[in-house]
Amino acid sequence: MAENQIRNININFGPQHPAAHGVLRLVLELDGEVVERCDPHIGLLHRGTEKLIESKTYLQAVPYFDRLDYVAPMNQEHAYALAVERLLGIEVPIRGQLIRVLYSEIGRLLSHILNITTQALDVGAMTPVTWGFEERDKMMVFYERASGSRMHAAYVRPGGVHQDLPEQLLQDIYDFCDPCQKTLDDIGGLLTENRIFKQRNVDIGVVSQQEAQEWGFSGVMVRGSGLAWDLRRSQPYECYSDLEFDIPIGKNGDCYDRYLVRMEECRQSLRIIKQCIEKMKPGPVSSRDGKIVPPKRDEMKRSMEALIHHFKLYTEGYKVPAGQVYAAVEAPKGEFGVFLVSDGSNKPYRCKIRAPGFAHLQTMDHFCKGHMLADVAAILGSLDIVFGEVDR
Amino acid sequence: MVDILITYGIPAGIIIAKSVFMLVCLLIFVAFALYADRKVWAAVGYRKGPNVVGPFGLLQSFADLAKFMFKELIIPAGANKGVFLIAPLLSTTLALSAWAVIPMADGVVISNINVGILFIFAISSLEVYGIIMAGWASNSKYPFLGALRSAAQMVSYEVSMGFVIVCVLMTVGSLNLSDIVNAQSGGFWNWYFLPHFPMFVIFFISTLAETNRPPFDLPEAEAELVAGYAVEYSSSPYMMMFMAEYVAILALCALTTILFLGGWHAPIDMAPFTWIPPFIWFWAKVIFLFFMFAVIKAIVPRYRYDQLMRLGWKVFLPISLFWVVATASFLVFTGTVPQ
Amino acid sequence: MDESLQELGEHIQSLLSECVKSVDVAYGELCINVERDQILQVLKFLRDDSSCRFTCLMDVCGVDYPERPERFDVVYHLLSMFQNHRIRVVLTTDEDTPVPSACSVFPAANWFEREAFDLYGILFADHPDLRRILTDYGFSGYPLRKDFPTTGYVEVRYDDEQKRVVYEPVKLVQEFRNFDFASPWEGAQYILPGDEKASGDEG
Repeated sequence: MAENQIRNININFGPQHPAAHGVLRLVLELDGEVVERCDPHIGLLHRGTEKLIESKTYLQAVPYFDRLDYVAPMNQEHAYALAVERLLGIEVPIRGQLIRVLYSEIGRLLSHILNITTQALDVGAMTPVTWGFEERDKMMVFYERASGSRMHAAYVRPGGVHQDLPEQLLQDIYDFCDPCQKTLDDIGGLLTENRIFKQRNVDIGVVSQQEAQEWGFSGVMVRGSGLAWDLRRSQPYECYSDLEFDIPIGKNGDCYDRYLVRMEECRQSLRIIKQCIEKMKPGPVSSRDGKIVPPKRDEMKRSMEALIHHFKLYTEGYKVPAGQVYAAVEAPKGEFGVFLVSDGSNKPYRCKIRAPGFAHLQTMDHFCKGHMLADVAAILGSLDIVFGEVDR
Repeated sequence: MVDILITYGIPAGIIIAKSVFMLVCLLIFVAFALYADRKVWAAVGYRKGPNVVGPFGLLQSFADLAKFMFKELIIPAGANKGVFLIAPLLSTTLALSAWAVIPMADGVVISNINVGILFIFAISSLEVYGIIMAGWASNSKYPFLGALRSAAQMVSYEVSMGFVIVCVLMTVGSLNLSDIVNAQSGGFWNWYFLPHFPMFVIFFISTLAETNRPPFDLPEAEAELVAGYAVEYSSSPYMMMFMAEYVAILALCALTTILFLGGWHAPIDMAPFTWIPPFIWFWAKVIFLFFMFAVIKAIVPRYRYDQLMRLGWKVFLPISLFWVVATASFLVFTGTVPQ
Repeated sequence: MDESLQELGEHIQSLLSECVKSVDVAYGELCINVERDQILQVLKFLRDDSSCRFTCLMDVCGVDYPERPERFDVVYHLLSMFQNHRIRVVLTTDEDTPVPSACSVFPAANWFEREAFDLYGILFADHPDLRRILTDYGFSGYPLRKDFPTTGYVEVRYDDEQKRVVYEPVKLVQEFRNFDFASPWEGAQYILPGDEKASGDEG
C-alpha cells in the first residue's frame, strides 16, 4: 500500500454512547488509537430555556433551572434566586439562607458522587457507581421530603425557599451524614490507591493554572490546578461566610487531582450540612415582603388581603426594577452564573445562563489532542459535563 | 462392511455420545456460571442481581437464552454476510472444542491425547479469529477498532502464557494433561502453584487478558468502544459470542486448575478429603477460579491500550522468560530432569 | 465595595478614554460601555493592567433590543481571581456589523461567541470557527431575537413511510398563550372586553 493511502479514521463518539454523559457527539479523528482532533457537537439537548424564560414570569422561570444541571437542581435555582433578589433588593431570613445552603451542599454531594463514580465507570471500574447511587438516592429522598419532587424541586424561590422543613427531616439529614461519609471512604478505598485507576488518571488531561484562566474554567477545574478559588469563600453569598469549611486544591491539574478534590469537597459538604443543621433555629424561611413572596396557604384562606396577593402573585407575578445583574454561585461543576436583564415588567427581558460545563467542554479539543481514545472518556468524565446545562 | 461398522462405528458412536453429553453438561454449567457471575458482581455492588426467573433467579440465563433466540437478527447493510455469521459460529465451536482434551478426573476425558496442552493452546489462539472476523465483517468502525485491539492483545499475552506453560512442561516432562495432573498428586504442597508461584500469577492474569475479561476488556471496552467487536451483533449470534467467551473462560480456568492446582486431586491426600470424588474437586477448583474472575471484574478499572501492551511485553514476557531459564537451570543442576 | 468599583471604573476610563463610552456601578456591579471596534484593546487592557487583572472571561452573550438602531448588546463578563472583582463590558452592534472576536485575547470566547452568533446572528470578525453550535444542523433563523416566535417555524417528527425524520411547519393544537397580565390602568396593550362599545358610543 502506498504511503499516501494511509489516512486517519474519523469516528463518531456519540450522540448515543455510554461514556458521552448524555447526548454529546464528538467527532474524533484518530491516528490508530491516538486522538488527532476532537470536535464536540453539542446542542442535541437544546430546549431553548433562555427563550422560554423570556415569556414566563419570574416565578414561573424557576423550574427551568432544575432542568439545567439535573444532577444538582437546587444550586441552579439558587443562582437565579440570588439574581432576582439582587434586583429586588430583598433579604432572605437566616433560616431560609441555611436551608438554601443545606440543599446546595446536598446538591454538591449529589453531583460529585455522580461524577466520581461515573468517571470511574468511564475508566472501567463498575462497582463505585452502585455504591454511590445508593447514597444519591437517599439524598434525593431528602429533596422529595422538602419539595415534593426528587429532582425538579422548584424549591428555592426568589425571596427564600418555598416551605419550611419539618424537624424530623433535619434530624434524618444529620443522621445521614456519617454513614454517607463511610460510603465515600469505601469508594475512596476502591479507587484512590488503585494502581489501574491511577494509571488511567494521573497525568491525563493536565490543566495548567494559565490554561485554567484562559479558558474561563471554574470550580473543581481550577482548584484541581492549584488555584484556591471558590466563590463560597472569595465572594461569599448567603451565610457561607459564617460556616467553617476548607477549600481543597490539587497540585498537578490532572484527572486524578480533580478526583481527589471532588472527594474532599464531598467531605467538606457533609461538614457544612452538619453545621447548617446545628445552626438552624425556628424562624421565617422566606422574605416577609408580601408583594414578592406569596402568603402561606392557610393565611390565604382566611385573609382577604392575602388572597389578593396570592392571586396576583400567581397570575401576574411581581414586577422587578429595570437593571442588569450577574449573580454567580459555586455550583458543583463550577461557576454557574445568571445574567438577568430586567425591563421593569413581570418577565425577564433576557436571562443568560452561564453554565460551567459549556466553558469546560469547549476545551476538549485542546486537552484531548495527543491522548489516546480511552483517555477521551477519562477526560470527558473528569470535566464533569451534564448536558442539561451545556445545551440549555 | 459390518466389520468396518463394528471397528469404527461403535467407537465413533461412543465418542459422539460422550461429546454430546459433555456439551450439554457444559452448556448448562455455562448458564449457571453466567448467573453466578452476575450474582457475584451484583453482591459486590450491594445489588440483588437476577432474582426473578425461577427460585433465586436461577433460571435467568435460560430466560435470556429464550429472549436471544426470539429476537430479530439484524445484519448491517454493509456487512459481509457470510463472515458476519461464521464469526460467532467459529468462536463458539473453537471454545467448545477445547474441552475435548480436558480431563476432569482420572480417565474422564473425551480424548486423552498426548499433546493435549498444545491442542488447548492452539485452540485458544485460534479464538482470536472469531473476534477479528466479527470486527471486520461488521463494516463499522467501533467493532473494527475492537477487533484490532483484541488481535494485538491476545497475541501479546499468548507469548508469555506459552512460556509459563513451558515451565510446567519442563517440570513434568509430558504434554499430556492427565500426566501433568498426576505429577501433582499427593497433597497441595505438590501442586505447581507453590514452586511456580510467579508463573501462576502471570498465567492467571494472562488468562484474564486472553479471554478479554476486566481489567483487560479493551476489545469490548464499554466506555470507549461501546461493545467493541460485538456492537453490530444481535439475537442468537450475539448470544453465541457471549457464550463462547464464557466457555473459553471456563476452559482456561480448567487449564489453570490442571497446570497449577493439581487438577482433580484433593488438597490433602487423606480421609475426609478423599471421600469427596475427584470430579467434584476438579470443579470446585474451577469454580473458585471463576469466582476470582467475577470478583476481579467487579473491582478493577480498565487498562488503557498502551498500558496493556506494556504489561504484556515489558513485564510478563521478561519475567516468564527468566523463569523458563531458571526452571531449566534448576532441573539440570539438581539432576531432576523428568525422563 | 461600590466605592472601590467606582474607583476602578474611573481608573479604566482615565486610561482608555477613547474606548470607554460610560462607566456605571449598579447593584454592586461595575459595567462599562465601550466602542465596538476597540473591544480587543479594552479586553487586553483589562487582562493585563495590574489593578484590573481580569484574566478570566466568564461569559459572552447577546441581548436584543429590536427598537434600537444598533439592536444588539454584546455583553462580556470578566472575572479577576487575583483582585476578586468582576466587570461587565458592553458594546452595541447590529445585524450586519461584525464585532472583533475576542478569541485571540481569551480562547474561552470561542464557544460563547459561536453561541451568540447562533442565537442572535451577531457576527464576529476573525473568529476561527464561526459555526452554529446549539441549534439543529441546517437550522435557519436566530431564535433568541425578540422577533423570532417562541414556538419556532418548523417541527420534526419521524415519518414511518419515508423512514426518516421529516421537517414540517409548526402546527399547534393549541395557540401559544402569552398572557399580558399588566393591569388596564397600567397601560395594557389590548382592548378590554366591552371597551369597544364605549369607544363606539363616543364615536
